[in-house]
Amino acid sequence: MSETEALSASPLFANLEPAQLERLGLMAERRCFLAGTVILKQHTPVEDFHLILSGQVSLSVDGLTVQTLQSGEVLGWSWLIPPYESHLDAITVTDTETVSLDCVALRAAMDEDHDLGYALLRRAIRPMLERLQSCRLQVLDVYHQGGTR
Amino acid sequence: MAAPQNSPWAPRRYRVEAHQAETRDVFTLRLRPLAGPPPTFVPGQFNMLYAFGHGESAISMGGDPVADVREGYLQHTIRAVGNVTNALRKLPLGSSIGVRGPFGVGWPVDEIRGQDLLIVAGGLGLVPLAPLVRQVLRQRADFGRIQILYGSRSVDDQLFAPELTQWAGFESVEVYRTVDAATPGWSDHIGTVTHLIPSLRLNPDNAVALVCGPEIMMRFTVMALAQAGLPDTAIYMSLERHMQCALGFCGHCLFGPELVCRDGPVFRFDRLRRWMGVKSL
Repeated sequence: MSETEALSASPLFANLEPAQLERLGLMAERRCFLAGTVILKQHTPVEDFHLILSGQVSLSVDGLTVQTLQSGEVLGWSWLIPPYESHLDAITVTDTETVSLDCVALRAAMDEDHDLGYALLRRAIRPMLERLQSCRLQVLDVYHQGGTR
Repeated sequence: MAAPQNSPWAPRRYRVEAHQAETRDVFTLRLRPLAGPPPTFVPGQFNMLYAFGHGESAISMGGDPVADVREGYLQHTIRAVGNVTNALRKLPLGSSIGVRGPFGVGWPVDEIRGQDLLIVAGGLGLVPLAPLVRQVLRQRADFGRIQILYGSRSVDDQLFAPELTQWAGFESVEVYRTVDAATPGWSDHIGTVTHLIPSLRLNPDNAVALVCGPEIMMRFTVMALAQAGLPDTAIYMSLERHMQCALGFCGHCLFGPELVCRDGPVFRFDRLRRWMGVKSL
């Protein structure tokens, strides 16, 4: 599977214009990370945006793991927002394959092609919202409340 | 006047034969009737357990619907959370308790044959689903792919951990465990159970979801299932309400027009959707 095909299989990039996908494909590369690799480090610049194709990645804050991500998920959103620094440590739990895009080139493409920028931002909101809801549920500690059965 | 024999109002006496701590506040009782065999049951039904001097509490049927009944006992896994359940927890072996039931509508085992099953359990919600899994695995060829998602608060709060590993060894059975907060050494998922659903690659045309857990978790699960393309008619969930009579008379467990003790506790979601968003219902 090419980078472009891998991107188009993700809801984040599916059904973009062929030229847009082609452009994104040129700034993407497939990568393999062995288990235990630090992909993102807290408070350091984010250079790449990763779509997980297989494997599992943990997200930690100050050493405390708050979530794990698996295939089909996007690793990190800090590349979108200045100062483009990671808020989390991202470490592979298992051997992990990604398709990774150069953030600087991606932001430039979104700035130049506003249709592409708008489409990506709009699609990015859903997984962000799902992750926010997931965090809210974790904070609510729902399993500790309630019943007897 | 005493209730007539075989009346659903009259508790039957059982002996506490074994007591096993599952987590710090959850325990399993093995109960054997003082006379006669235990009743058969459908996974998802419940019993009213009567701690003498304390009162009754509705508790889901646990254990194995085939093997346990054949062996002549019932099992209930219970969280010690109130007066009755704390009294049940303290019962010494050999003491007797009252049991009424089984009551209610369980999981639709026959209707879901031939389909892929997505079983989503949160916390103690695994208890009513576990007998279903045990029954389904005994008839493995009758069902399609089975995916089991189990979310719990922490690694120590997980129920039936060795059995979950055993289930994952069956052909075409996938078990995904997740915890809200992990401890060192945990290598499964971290996060809510709903977070796992988008990556499952469900076949909405031939899949059915069976969901049990805290209500807020079930609401978010249904949203994730809808996003994955599952219609309301392919989602079943087990509700928990305060049940008193268990026979549909007293109305304590009313949920919209449904009496949870009699019409449920397992419902197909299209019957519930309208009422799920109503506050304090």
